[in-house]
Amino acid sequence: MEMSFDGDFEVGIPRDTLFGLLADPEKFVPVLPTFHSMEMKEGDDSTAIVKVKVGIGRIHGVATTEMTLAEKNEPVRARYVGKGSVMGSAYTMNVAFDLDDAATGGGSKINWQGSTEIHGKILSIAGGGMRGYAEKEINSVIGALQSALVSVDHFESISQAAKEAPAPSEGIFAAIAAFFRGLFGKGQDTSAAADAEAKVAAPATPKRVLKPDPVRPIRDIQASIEVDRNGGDRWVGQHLRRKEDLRLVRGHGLFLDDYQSPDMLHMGFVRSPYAHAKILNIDISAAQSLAGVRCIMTGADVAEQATPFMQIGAEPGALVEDYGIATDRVRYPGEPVVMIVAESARLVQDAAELVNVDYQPLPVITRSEDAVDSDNLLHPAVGSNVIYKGTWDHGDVDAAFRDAAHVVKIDRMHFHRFSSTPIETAGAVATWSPRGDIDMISNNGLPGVTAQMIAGFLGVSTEQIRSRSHDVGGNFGTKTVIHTFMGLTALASRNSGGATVKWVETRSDNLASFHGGERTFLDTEVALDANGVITALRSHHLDDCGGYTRYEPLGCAIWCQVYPATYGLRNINIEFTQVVSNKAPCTPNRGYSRLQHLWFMERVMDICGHELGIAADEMRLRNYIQPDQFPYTTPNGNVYDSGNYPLMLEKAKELIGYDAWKEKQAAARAQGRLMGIGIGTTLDSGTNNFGQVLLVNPDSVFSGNTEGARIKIGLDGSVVVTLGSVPQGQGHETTTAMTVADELNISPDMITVRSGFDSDWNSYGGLSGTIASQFVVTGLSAVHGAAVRLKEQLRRLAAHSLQASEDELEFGVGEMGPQLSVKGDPERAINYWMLSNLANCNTAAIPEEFRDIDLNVQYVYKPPFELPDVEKKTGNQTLTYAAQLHISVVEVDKATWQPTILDYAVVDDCGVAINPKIVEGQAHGATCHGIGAAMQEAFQFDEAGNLTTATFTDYAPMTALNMPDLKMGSICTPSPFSFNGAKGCGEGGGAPLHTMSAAIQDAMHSEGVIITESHNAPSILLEAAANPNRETAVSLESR
Amino acid sequence: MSTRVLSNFDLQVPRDIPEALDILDDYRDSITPVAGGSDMLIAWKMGVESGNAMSVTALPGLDYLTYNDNDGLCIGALATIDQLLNSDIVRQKYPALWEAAEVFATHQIKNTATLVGNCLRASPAGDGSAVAYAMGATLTFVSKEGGERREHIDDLFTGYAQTSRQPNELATQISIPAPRQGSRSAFIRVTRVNEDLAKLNVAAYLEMDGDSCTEARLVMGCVGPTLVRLPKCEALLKGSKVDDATLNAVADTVNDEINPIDDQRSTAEYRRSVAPVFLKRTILKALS
Repeated sequence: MEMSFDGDFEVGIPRDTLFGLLADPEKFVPVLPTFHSMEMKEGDDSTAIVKVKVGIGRIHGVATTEMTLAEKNEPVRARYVGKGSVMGSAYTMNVAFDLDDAATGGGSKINWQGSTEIHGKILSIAGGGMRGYAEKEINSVIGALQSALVSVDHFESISQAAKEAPAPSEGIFAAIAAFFRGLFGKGQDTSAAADAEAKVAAPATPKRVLKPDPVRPIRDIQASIEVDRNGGDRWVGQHLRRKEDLRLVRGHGLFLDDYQSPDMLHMGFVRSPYAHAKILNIDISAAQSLAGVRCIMTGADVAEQATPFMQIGAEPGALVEDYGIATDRVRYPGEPVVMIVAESARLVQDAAELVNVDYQPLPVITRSEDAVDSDNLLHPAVGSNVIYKGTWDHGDVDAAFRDAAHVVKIDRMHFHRFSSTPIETAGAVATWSPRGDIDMISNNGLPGVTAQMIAGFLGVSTEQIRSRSHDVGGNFGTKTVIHTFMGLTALASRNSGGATVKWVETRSDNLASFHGGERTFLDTEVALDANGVITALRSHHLDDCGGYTRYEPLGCAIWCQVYPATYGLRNINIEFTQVVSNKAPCTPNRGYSRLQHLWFMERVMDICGHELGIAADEMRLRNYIQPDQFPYTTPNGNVYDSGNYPLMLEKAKELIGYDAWKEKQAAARAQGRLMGIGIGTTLDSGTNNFGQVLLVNPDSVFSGNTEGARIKIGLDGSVVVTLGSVPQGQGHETTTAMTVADELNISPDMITVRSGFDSDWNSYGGLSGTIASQFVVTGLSAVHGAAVRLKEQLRRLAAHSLQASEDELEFGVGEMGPQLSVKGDPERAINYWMLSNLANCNTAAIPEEFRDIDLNVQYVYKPPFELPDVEKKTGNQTLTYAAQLHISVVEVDKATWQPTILDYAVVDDCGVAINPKIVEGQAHGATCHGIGAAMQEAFQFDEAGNLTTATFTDYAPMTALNMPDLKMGSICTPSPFSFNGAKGCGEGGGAPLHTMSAAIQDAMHSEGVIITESHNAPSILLEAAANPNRETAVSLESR
Repeated sequence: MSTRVLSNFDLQVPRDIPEALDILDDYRDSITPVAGGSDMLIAWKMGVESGNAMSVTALPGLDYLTYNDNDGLCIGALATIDQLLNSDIVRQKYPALWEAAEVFATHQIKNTATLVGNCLRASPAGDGSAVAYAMGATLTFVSKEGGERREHIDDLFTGYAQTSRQPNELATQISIPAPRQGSRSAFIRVTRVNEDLAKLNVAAYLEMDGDSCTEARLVMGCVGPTLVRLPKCEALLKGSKVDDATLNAVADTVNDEINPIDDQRSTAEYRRSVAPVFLKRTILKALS
């Protein structure tokens, strides 16, 4: 293909001088707008080896052109000839400048001509668009040249600055056009020359025509072709900034409430002012007559159209009838009673105030102990308030107690209600199409399971529900159970003529609706040997799941993932009972069900230590599972993959200066001050075996786990990944890109990870989602599996294209971006764009045996789980066990009972940290949530069951302003069960709760106080000090 | 249960004080003047009837902060807490007020909230108002009918969220007397988190002659329906040498003067327990 162009323009520089500029490659070439770098050919001062940036969209690289000054007829003519290759195609070029004196003013007139000839595959890609691109680019180049030739000084300063500037890091113009940049350069503000020009004051500023600002792309993709792993040989393990933050911190996130559509309606609720009451009558007539109100549904209306939501558990819990809205009675304060759809959110509120509901208040149950045997039933069909009851019995508990040297009995301990209060409240946008399909946008984190729950409620199949989300402003598990609200939003759309309906919680709605689990530990007995090693444990655990079993009784099984915590005891008997109460339904909440149990185990350890006079660190060292015992099978069959708890303790003690603090503590105590040092060891079990559902429902059809990912090479050669997960701030885009980059030997910047989830397009499994600290294992295993499959395809196709064997090829990055090349022969290379072209656009050009290659592969990861033994309650329920060990130093003001954190250390073991920066962020967040819960975050209820902490004015969530400085450390015991050695770590295991309870007990033990509450506000400590419980709460029997 | 969405209300934005006074004269009890709005907006969200609101933010010349030895510190109705915090005069001459400004809510709130508004909200947990009360401030009101009226803060708080401001009156200024020779002041608040409302606060103003106290004004918050003056405690200080015996007597007396309740931030029992402690600490802080 041949093309030629010509034209002329005048400049103010005399012809002799101008010739000197244009006929010197070292001066002329750097002025080209896409100049990257150059060097003069050795022994030939008329030939320059020039590199210019090329690229399209997210594909980028450099092209090399050899430019020779072929004619130098001073001062009238300079002509360059060039040759090079780009994208596997060869080209030649010819550029000539004929100079005349200008008609007036002493300047010059430049008559220029350019022609090029192209051979090769690029033509098959570019097609007939090349001439158009070329014209555009040449106009740009000539413009840039004209601008640079305002004066000699200006020209030379631009030229010099471009040469000295670091190699430009990006270029985002069409690759086809870039080909011409190789010949002529072009005007583009991201080039070195343009950058240089910006730094050099032009003597005259051209008059600018004001135009609207174009969209400025977010540069989440950097054009660097350098693969610099900060000195390492892998991206995994590097402290990289998060890819997604470039988008999020600039306000380009797309959160639930950002979704808008014409004629969108809004949905909200009339909510119950009572904790427990019968609904006698609902009058919606006044609200219905309000202009703009489109639909009002009571619970009874909903019940006519829907089926109660699926219950996870077996009977009796399965007899709970839950429509997500009260039908005959309300069971917690704030429960939806009437659903209103109107043209604005304000109108919904106005209409809500016009609804009259007659209630008959009923007695209220807010203490789980009161619920067990009460005749005051929340769900009469269940027959009692007990939803689940089961016994975990492993080892020979009786024998261990017979042989015990010491038995410690603890009367009652209580883990309180709080929530992680994500900054974005829950919401959904639903559209029920006339076809019966439902478009469901939400910030739910578990789309696979949720779709199954909603489908049953609405009477549709799961594939009729398109489940979508984009950015999610925090979840921490609390949005796992928003399925009832999602179902109601869909129903609202259906009953509003299929209009799009948005439901977004207010903060008060959120605080009234989603609470973390509350648990009471009764009649605990601990057997210990003469050395203070715990040999057996008996206890009754009473879990309060609130008014409905939204995700329960799954929590009745989840806790036993960490059955013996970090300790080696083999004999355990725990009776586990779950009841309903007149409080908000419980939801998974950062450490779901396990942190309560881990807190309990840590309290047991501390209380026993104090009773026996064994120091907290020593008590733990004697009881920890030892490093050489991993993988360690717990009495109930869980397999702890790896760990080294003694090393974590040693590291944390070193971080905080444990010995020095012990000395300070002794001095403080001598002064009568209450200073305590607390240790909290905890586990963050990640990657669930959903088979544990069988423990609470033998008929469950869930087991194992699934997560999917898809990777494709786009038509432009870009690497694009979609995930089955629903990230909520965990940095999935970044860790995914790092994993793929290591596999393909490219840079994470060269990989696009689609943000958001769409069940229509993303690969996912029925158990997909972002829960339970699992992404680095499930998500990245899926990503890795897909990357491996993609590599196989790339290697086959490249081997054919390069006429090489697959073994000869290596993955990497060349001048034209990601590529495969023949080892030791970098000239024999083919980049992803060309491979994609062959696989997708130029398929007749490849033999039939390669036509199965689509460079678009999916992989669904299924962890190696087995079904548990339901009778024995044994089986491996989780794949990885990250651990955290915290130490805090606390002083309790004896006059005010205000605990103050004096020092705080955090040591984390999540195996291989994919991105330590992200891990540290997770550890900070988990510590923040835990300290907040330990110190000031608690849901409170009055005697009538009213929630008195339904706003942030009353609830007091933890903020950065209130956090102590943290001393952060880590160890790494790689998991043998994950491909990357990583262990999920997002939830954090509630270590601050254990640690703060321990520290406060250490401080107040001299006051006769045993800490039996997980929440220790000053008022609680005052009461504890006023009523020392050591004699009543705990007993020690030594034999 | 409120959905916590701000209810509709009509907003008046007068351009000068006469216009504002006309509006107040017309609307009387049915309109709420609003300056920073940091507390009123929350009240409206919590269901307090809004109806009509009058923003005073466009009134010219009310964002001043002046000081002279005769008039003391004069703070215009639109001067923000942030202005107090950045005032050298406040920092040097009114340390308790500066300390209250420093711990006052968040930076965002400091940028909009005003001391006049803080006093007129009459919250029993007010921080700035507690100091103003202890320092013996005076509010200036103007009305269409009565012209200018000055009200000593001792007569301002009439009940929970109630003041002696008349419905047609616009508050234009709060002034705090120049500190007398030998005067001391301090402020302490106790919260769950920094941004929180106080669960207890104490402001103390003392005039000292050597070791002896010649004048004392003590105010405690969150222990009654309004901020509470502690006259019995003040009487124990006045004319006495401020030593351990006096301080203990003061501490032993404070519970006779307060009537705290349980709420989400703490319990009545706790407040009673720590009121003597923080009162003593505030006095000692003032003297230090």
